[in-house]
Amino acid sequence: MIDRKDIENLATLSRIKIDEAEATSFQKEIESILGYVAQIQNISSEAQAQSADATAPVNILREDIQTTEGGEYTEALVGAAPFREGNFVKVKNVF
Amino acid sequence: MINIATLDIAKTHEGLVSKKFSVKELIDSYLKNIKERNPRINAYIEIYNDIDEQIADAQKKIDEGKATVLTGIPIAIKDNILIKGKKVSASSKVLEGYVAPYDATVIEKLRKESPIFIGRTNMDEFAMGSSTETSVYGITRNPHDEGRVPGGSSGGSAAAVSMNGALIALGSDTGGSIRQPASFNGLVGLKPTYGRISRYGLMAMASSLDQIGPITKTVNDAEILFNALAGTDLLDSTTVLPKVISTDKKNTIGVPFSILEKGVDVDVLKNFKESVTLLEKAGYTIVDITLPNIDYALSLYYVIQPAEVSSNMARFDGVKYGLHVDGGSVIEDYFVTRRAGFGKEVRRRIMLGTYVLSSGYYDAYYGKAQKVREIMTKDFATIFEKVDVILTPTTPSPAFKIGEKTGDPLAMYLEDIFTVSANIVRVPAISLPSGFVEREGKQLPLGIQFMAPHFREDILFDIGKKFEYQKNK
Repeated sequence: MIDRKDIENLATLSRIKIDEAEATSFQKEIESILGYVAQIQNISSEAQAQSADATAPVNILREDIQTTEGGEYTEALVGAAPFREGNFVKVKNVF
Repeated sequence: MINIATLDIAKTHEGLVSKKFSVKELIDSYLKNIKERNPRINAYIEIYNDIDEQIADAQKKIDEGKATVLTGIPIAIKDNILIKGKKVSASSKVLEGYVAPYDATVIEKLRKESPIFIGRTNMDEFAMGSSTETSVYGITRNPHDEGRVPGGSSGGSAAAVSMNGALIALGSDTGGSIRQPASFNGLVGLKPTYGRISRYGLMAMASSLDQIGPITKTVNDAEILFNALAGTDLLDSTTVLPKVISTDKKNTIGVPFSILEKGVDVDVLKNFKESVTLLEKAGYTIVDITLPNIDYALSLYYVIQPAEVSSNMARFDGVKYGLHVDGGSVIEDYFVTRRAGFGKEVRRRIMLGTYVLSSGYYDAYYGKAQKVREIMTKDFATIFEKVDVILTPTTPSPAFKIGEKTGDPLAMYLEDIFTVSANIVRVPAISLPSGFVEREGKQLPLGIQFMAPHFREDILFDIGKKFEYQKNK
């Protein structure tokens, strides 16, 4: 159901480096978990039809106003970054 | 010396305001216990360094007659709840050195009453686990049998209370992470209705399932802590005012006997049946109920939860906070930081979640799971027209041995079989201590679980107190 290439692809999509040994164990484990959870596909179509009229969630909104003073959290937030320059979070060149 | 083993919130409060003991004497008794037991149990991964100031503040409140019931009460906090200025890591290497820039809403609410925040407790990394074995800070042991797990993911919080290292604790529950460790430690654990307690400042695991809740020794203590925390919060838009569906009191308990037929330990089943008899003595009628789609609960949980995990974990990239491992370029930094920062279970769930959300599989897994979730919600609503609460064991077996399930993720997931439904259908659920079973000369606690309709924590407290009374009679 899941082959080695799928696992490597998932690791890439997840932005996680993966090595040979781990790809092997993840392949086995994820296949076993997917085999178990696949049973949700057996739910009857009758039961599915029932679900159509379930109550929809409601949005909760607040006033679009400024709730903090400018700069109030700058030091705490930027200070948490591994690298900074002034009040900016520093990253490597993207291009 | 205060006998802290017999205290509850009311007795402690009474002792403090009547000056039978001071806050310092009280907290010193707990700290002494922590010093003796924590090196082995590892319930706490940090004892806060401002306890003296907290004691002074609480004592001042008491002396000035401004104490509330939680003033001076020692409380343990799970390592995924933010306290401003204190380290917090979800027991993950990826948040190494991270200091919380603000208070979680639950902490802000508690501060007004000046309890004593003792320290942060160990947990499964990012709350992903049922045994507190996936923490970067090592395992936590069960105080009832040190060869066994305390449950998880709030295993540190439960062990802290059960070893008398705090009177009460906060945990978080996504699929059973408060109730299962409470059960393994002989404690009360409450997973409130979704939206009843603000999660602002709780590190998100699976946002449509997560709730913060109390771990305590008595139902009354759980009620006190719950009342202190509940309420709407502009900073968590999922919090809602209770829409209580008024139901006539039926004095009826529904038990889905058919799901107990397989996979439940014989002694757990025996204890469960004894609990049922006690409840009959308390005046309740027991009815056999069927939850038609309950067999899908765990499957759908292990689709929705990893899907939300994969999304919530995306923020840990080595740029904004915590660990950074250099990989040579921006994108390579992500890959190596996330490989080094996340433990194996977290990485497994991120990848699993990525799979069920990916194009081509979305409808078959995530889409389908959402439909089943709606169906289950309706099933529960129908059942609650006939019964006040639904009763099950909290777990299929007592605390298992350290290492017993770490090699088989699916076996670990099966721990959640009775607890996940409450998170899926967003109803409140409580685990109560129901007795002990002997294993290799050790007495291991067991628990039973009640689920009630949305916003009806009051029913859980009421029935819980009656059960406690029958149990202690």
